[in-house]
Amino acid sequence: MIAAETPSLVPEVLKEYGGIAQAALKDYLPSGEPREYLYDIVADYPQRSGKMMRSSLCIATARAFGASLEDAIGSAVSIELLHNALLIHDDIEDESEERRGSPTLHKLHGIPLALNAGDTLSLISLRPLLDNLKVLGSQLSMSILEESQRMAIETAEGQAMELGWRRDNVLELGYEDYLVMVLKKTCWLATIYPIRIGAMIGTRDRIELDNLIRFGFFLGAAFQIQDDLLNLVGDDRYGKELDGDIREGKRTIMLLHVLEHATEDERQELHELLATDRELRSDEQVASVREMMDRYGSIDYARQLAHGLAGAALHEYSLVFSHLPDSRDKQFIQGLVTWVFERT
Amino acid sequence: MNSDDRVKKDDPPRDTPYRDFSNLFTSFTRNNFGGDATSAWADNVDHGVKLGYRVIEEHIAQGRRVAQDVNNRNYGAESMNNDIREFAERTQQYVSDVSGLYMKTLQSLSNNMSANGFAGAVNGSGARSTDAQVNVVMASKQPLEVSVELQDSGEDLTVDYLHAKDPNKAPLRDVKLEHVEGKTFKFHITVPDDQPAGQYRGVVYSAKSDKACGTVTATLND
Repeated sequence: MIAAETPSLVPEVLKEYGGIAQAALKDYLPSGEPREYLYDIVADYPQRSGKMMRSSLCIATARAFGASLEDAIGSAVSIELLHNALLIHDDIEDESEERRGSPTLHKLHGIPLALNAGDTLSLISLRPLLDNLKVLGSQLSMSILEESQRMAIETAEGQAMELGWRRDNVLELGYEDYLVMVLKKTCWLATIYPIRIGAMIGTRDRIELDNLIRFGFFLGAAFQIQDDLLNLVGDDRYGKELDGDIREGKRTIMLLHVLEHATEDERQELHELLATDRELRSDEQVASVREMMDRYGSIDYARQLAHGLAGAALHEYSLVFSHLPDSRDKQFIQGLVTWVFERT
Repeated sequence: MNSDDRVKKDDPPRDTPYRDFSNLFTSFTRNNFGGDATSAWADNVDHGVKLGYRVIEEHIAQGRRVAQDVNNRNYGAESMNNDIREFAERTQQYVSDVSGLYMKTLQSLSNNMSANGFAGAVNGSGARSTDAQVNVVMASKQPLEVSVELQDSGEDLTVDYLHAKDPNKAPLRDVKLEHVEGKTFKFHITVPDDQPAGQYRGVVYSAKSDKACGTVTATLND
């Protein structure tokens, strides 16, 4: 069996397309007043160096289907703007302390100003989609707006599921529940939406979108599980506090696996820990959950699940892209499936 | 040929399916898990993929049901696209009309300027109407913008003078609204060299009924 290796062009393309999207994004960030209380805060997350996977995936898909970079750049910028807006809200909701190696926005400026900046950034993300009218015409631009609305709803539903589980301390969850939540919360914005609108732009909205949902889901789910794993085993480059997900009580594959295999006493211990307010959860309690994950092989289990999903992603990739002429963009998209496991 | 000399194929390296999924993705996996084939790996991967397909197929089916409901309510992409298309077509028509008018105006202006020997600049012009099309022919040494708005049209439309708000400023007397054909008009305006800058307005009216049918606004800049 040949091991799948990430082609070196994945980081190259991420750098190239990400750089182009980052430069175009700056044009949409207002520079007027009130700077101190709004626009400087709005510009903070977009200027921290993210991976720019979402925008690059959109551009690469559009180009693989025959579109030009100019056709896709507006939609790609919109994705990054909305992604950053949602990160601000996520960090508040999750009470996260670090984002991309620096304090989160609400830690720096307080929740009200951060919340307002997140709202503003999400509204700004509509501008490039309206600008699409000039480049893509009214019909395709309208289809992309509709797709954006669906993505936003799916994402909000996924976030609501996760927040609700935590608020009500729901523990009777299966892996399927987790995957549904990830499909909505992560996959739609991170992979399904960029791929779908990229393909819509490339084909001028003449493509069956269901296979793109499948590919995007498997890629995005593998990405999210790996992200959850990095929260436990990431190195200094990870950019978020290690074991932060345990402290936040996030329902991950690893936590569900522990709950499935734990003794009655351990389940009770977990139940009490997760019922406690975040700030009252001690380092010892977090370490105890982490030890259970190691003992029950939960981390290995999650990796295996993620690899299975990535394999399915490669299969779905071949169904969607195999008929297209070979290109650097196609190689990049395929390479992302293995890159998911190599990123830090 | 001796049977001992017969060429034989080597025994195959394996006689069971290769299920070592740990080797599928990257050296990271091999280094961290040793790469031994285990049925647990295969089972977990198999479980994950089946679960994934179950989730996504249900999601797609759900999406189709929602799409069907939306289409039944006639609130789908089709009707919204039609609205946008109609809007775009109107915009395109408007741009086309204004562009045509602008080019005709420039052409007339060019003719007039050479005919009258004017060397001055005309900054621009514009005309709007409900149904009627109005071409503007102007001659002015100073930058001039003209806007004609017609609420009604007819063969007998006329305009007398364009007056400034300031009564001390002389009105623009050399103006004429000419009916070309159907709903097409031509508005002529000549501005004296010593005309003071400012905004001048006049009423377009029906010569027969004396009913007001529109306005003309000329903005003369220094």
